[in-house]
Amino acid sequence: MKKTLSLLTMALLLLVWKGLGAAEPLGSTPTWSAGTRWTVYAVYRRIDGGWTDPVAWRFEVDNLSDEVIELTVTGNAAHSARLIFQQPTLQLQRAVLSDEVRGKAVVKQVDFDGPAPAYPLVSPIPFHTPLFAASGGSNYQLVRKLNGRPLPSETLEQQVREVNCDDATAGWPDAAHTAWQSLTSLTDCLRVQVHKQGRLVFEQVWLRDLPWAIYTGAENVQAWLAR
Amino acid sequence: MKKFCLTALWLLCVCASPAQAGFDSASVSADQIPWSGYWWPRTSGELVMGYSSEPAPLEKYDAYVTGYFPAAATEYGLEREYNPDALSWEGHCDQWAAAAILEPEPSIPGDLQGILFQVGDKKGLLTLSLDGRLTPMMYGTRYEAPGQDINDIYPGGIDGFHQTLVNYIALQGLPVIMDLDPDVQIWNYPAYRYEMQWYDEGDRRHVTCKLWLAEDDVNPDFVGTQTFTRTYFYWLQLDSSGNPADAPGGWEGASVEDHPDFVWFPIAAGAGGVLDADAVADIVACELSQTDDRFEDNDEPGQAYAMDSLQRNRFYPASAWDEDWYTVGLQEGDDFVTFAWTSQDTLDVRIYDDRGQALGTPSYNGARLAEVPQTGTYYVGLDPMASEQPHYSIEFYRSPLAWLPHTAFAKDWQTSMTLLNADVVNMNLRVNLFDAQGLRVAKKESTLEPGQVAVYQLNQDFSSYLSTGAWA
Repeated sequence: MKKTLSLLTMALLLLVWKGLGAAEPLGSTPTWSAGTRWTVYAVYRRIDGGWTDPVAWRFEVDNLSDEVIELTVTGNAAHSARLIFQQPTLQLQRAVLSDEVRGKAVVKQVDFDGPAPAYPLVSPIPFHTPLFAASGGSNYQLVRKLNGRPLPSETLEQQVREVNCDDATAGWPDAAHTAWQSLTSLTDCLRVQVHKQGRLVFEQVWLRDLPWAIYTGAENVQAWLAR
Repeated sequence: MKKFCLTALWLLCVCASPAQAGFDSASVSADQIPWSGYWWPRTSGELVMGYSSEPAPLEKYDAYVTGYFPAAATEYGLEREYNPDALSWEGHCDQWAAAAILEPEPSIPGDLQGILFQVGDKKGLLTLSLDGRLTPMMYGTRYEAPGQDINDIYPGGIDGFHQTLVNYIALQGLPVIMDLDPDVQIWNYPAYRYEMQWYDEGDRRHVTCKLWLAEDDVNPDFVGTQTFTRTYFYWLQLDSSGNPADAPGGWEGASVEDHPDFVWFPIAAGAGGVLDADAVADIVACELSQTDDRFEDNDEPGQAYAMDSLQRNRFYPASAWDEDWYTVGLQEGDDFVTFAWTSQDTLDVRIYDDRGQALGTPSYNGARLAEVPQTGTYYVGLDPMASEQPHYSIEFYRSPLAWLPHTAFAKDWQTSMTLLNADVVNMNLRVNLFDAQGLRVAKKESTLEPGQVAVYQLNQDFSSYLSTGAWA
């Protein structure tokens, strides 16, 4: 009985995700298998209002089980992350973050309780993720615990729309645009926008067959998939 | 009696429904307390102009990287780090605050290749090394112009002022930086400790938050943490469970007008930067060990280091733990000057010919051979005498012979020469007149003060020699 329910849930989730995309070929969660790796470049808003040079973050799927998928993220500086996603929804469940301060690693654990979209609060690593298994409603409660202590609960609104990629890419950094053109010739994109209290928290553009969002934009960071 | 009853009733009400109150405090551990350091304002430009009698931090950096100064970093500094007309608050408070969190404090002087690096040099270079490499995790938005929301950063919310303090200082044990000026100016300081007192009133929590921050208005060589405090007043929205909600809340009392502009945590994730990170790391790590300079062993004339580049205002840092000897190639008639820039007054610098005979005139930490008797190799010997810290930067300067062609007396043509001293020190000047065979037939000497102009009317000044023929 339990197994039947589980299978039903999975089927429903997949159907819902298909429904989000509204039409082929966009309706699927990213496919990750052990060893899958990709690079995301990110630029950050400087205090003077400009943007930093791109920073490369390498994502790699290094553990895959029936319950979870674990990703390791390393960068070109003293920052790394281990991201744990629930199967099969790919809901971000936990981020173990390590930052080097005064030559020593400061490790922190952030637990995410959803289902809800998730985004980094105390890390520069752009691991923004939509709620792939979105249900009918568009508002979701996200509760995080930072090193075991609950933070204020967030109410996030997620909107998903199928858009023409040419429209979606307007305003991207040139490097992001170039990377997108080199990765795919698809023209139908899925745009995910996550708002809180009417304010855009982050926006992503996803494409079928790609392991990560082709673009992520937030107030202080822009990130794009490179390869 | 009625009055007594009313008073009693009021007391009963007060006692029966006290406002929920509480206290919270947190501090980073002792080994994470940010250190104080100078903020290197651009109006005075000490990074490149110097903050003591020693060469500036960027000059010492150049010396370590290239062997002399000024070089690329100093030139960059003159262009970007010194501007008397800069805004009074322009400087490096952001990079200092970041370095004070991310890096251990440089707390002792050291030397590398004979170059002395004081604590202020190390802190300054460490601070500047983050220029271009800093990635801020921003909370709130910088206020840049009227019309923007001056209440931002709001006190409440998961990324508001209150929760960000808790998230970093209490939950991660890390300081967090804040711009304390709510207006356009930016004054960044790292906060590392707080005490919060609060009471609840309905669905609002009123908080008085006292912060401890590290100061940056200190001498560059300051070691340790000079602290100051700020107190802020605000309210937080409570949810139905009585916990702070993800809502903005508001500033109260004096904090309505005076509250932080934005809060951030530094991530040094960017590539590049103005200075080479490895070189800065070497400098920051060095200790006082009386390291040899790059010209050793040059303890006696037979070991003299051949100095082949004799440029004015180019200094070679070295240390005279013992005698130092250099050779220079000079031309007959040259005016040769060597000068050792040092905080000590006891260096003895002399010029010798290849037979060991002292020539020229000793001067303060230097010597001058105003007229080189013949073309050849000459020696500069430097004796530290009683110096305890014999670090010096030595300049070897051979007056350039600028040959100016002059065809004398072509009817009414007049030849004049205008010379400007664009330096900041007095300049000794000698104009020689040579005949067509290269023999000097006359000279005139003078001293130009900074900015002074000398005009030579050759026909008049050398009238007795310029009667016929071609001259140079």
